[in-house]
Amino acid sequence: MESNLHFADQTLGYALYNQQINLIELQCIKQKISAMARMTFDLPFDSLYNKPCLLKLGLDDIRVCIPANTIQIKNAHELGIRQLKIYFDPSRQDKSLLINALNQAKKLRMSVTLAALNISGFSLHVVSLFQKLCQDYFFNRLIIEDNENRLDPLTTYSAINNLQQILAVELEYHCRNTRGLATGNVFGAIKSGIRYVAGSIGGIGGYPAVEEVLMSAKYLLHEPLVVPRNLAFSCKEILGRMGESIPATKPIIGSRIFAHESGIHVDGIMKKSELYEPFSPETVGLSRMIVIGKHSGKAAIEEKLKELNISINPSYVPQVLEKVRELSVRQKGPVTDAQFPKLVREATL
Amino acid sequence: MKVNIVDTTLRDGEQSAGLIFTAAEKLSIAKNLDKAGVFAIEAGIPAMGKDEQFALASILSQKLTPQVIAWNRANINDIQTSVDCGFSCIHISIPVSDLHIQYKLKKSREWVLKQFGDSLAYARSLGCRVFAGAEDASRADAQFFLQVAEIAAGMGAERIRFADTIGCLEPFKTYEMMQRLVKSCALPIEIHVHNDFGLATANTVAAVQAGVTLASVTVGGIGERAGNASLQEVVGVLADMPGIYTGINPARLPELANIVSNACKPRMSQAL
Repeated sequence: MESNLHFADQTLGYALYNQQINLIELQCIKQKISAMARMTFDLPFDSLYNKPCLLKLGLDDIRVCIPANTIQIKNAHELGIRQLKIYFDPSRQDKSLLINALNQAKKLRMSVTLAALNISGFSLHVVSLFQKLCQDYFFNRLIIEDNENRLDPLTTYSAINNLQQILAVELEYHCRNTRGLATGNVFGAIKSGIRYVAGSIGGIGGYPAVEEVLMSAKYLLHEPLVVPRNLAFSCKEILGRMGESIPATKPIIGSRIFAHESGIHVDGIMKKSELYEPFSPETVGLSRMIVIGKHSGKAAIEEKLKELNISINPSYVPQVLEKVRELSVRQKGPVTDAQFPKLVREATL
Repeated sequence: MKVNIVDTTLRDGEQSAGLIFTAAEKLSIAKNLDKAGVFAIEAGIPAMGKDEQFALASILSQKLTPQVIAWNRANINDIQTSVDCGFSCIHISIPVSDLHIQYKLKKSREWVLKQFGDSLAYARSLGCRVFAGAEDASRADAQFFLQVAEIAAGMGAERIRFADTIGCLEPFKTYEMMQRLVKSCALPIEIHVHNDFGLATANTVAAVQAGVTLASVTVGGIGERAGNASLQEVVGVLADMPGIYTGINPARLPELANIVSNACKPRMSQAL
């Protein structure tokens, strides 16, 4: 049975706010992201209100982020918007604002997700407020957000479990990656039973990286997810259209995460790739590369000789290795395929 | 609880494919790691040759405060080379998962225990402090890991590194595993993880939450494949945890990060 894990995509909203990207590009980005997993796209209402052509992006899977304001909700409805993410701060705003907003949305038959609960720190008073709201008003889900970034995976899991005992509404989890824990925290949320989580491609905008959450949920939590075989390429294309690049060692999709140089590792990979790779490069549409440099061992030299169709007496391999090390230290970089044959000739003189 | 930071930027960090630090860069990084207050610096692998030995000897001559450690495979040659280079702190690594033992070493568990014991004994006989390293521990049989730790303890090792070599741990499994192992392991455990799923910092933090007192990191999380646990991220999270301190001076970290970042840039290649 296929997984019902669902992402609230933040990439498109980030692209809208931060980049000069035209509608066609946005449509392309949206289409590519939709192909990766079940997606709903969170977009800010003011962007759509100011640029109604963006409505052509298609509203079926767009959720519009709007404050608890009856006039803006009415305006959203007039534009054809039907899915809302209403944000509300119970520590600063009066609950009557929220109640009016929920009533307005209900009257207009709009679907509502409420973004209101700061999981990093909430009072019992706020929790009782939401308990009552859940009973009296219908909204699809309540977003819990780690606004102060104080939680880690274990405390995220406990906090969500506690809330699930008290609140009779489905929860959705959002967080940011300010401390390098986002993927781990989302992992904790999914483990606690949450099915809707926020993310962005490549972690852009400081959100949990969709590709990291997808792969860790599939391989480490055994969610029945289908990971697209062109995941790395797709992410590169999406971010490329936004003028962004992927760091070479970005987990899951970086171009060099299957580049191996260390002698022990290359020797191991040649024997059995599972020794040093948690998943095959083909899983995400990348390729393995053997880099020849300071850390190389005999196995890498032998592999490179085979790859470049160079035949030598095996007893010369240690000399080739020595030349490789000397050159790579001298040039502070790996030995290229162009340089390798000449090194071999020198070593075998 | 003090969590000791074991930095392996100069060893595992430099194993990031295509990366080379010059001797001067290694020295500068080591000095700045010292200023930042790390507990230990895993400086490199003397068995890699004369250039590496030259760079490492230069670091040793500084008599820095942290332990300055040479990484070794479990064989006499590696260890002798490290001692000849001037090291008195020796890390000895051996694979402990059946997968690695069978397919990489093509040996047996019994061979691993004997080889490891002999290597540790040899290093100790030369007057060295020894630190054990269990490669691919996250996929090893837990009882065998404990057996390896027992042997290491018997030979005078001071701690054992639990290496998640392929980055396949997740925080809950890490926590559960470490909670059990910390209670029954003959040696203090040092957690060493990789970032293949983007979980390195989370796993290191989970290990500390389970009682682990040594964390292996690299500056900026550089290292094999998607890298290691980031020193800055781990120290940042631990600084917010009540009752935990690392001894790291956060004011030193931006400069350290800058130095490492510059050292990671390639030079224009010279013509042969």
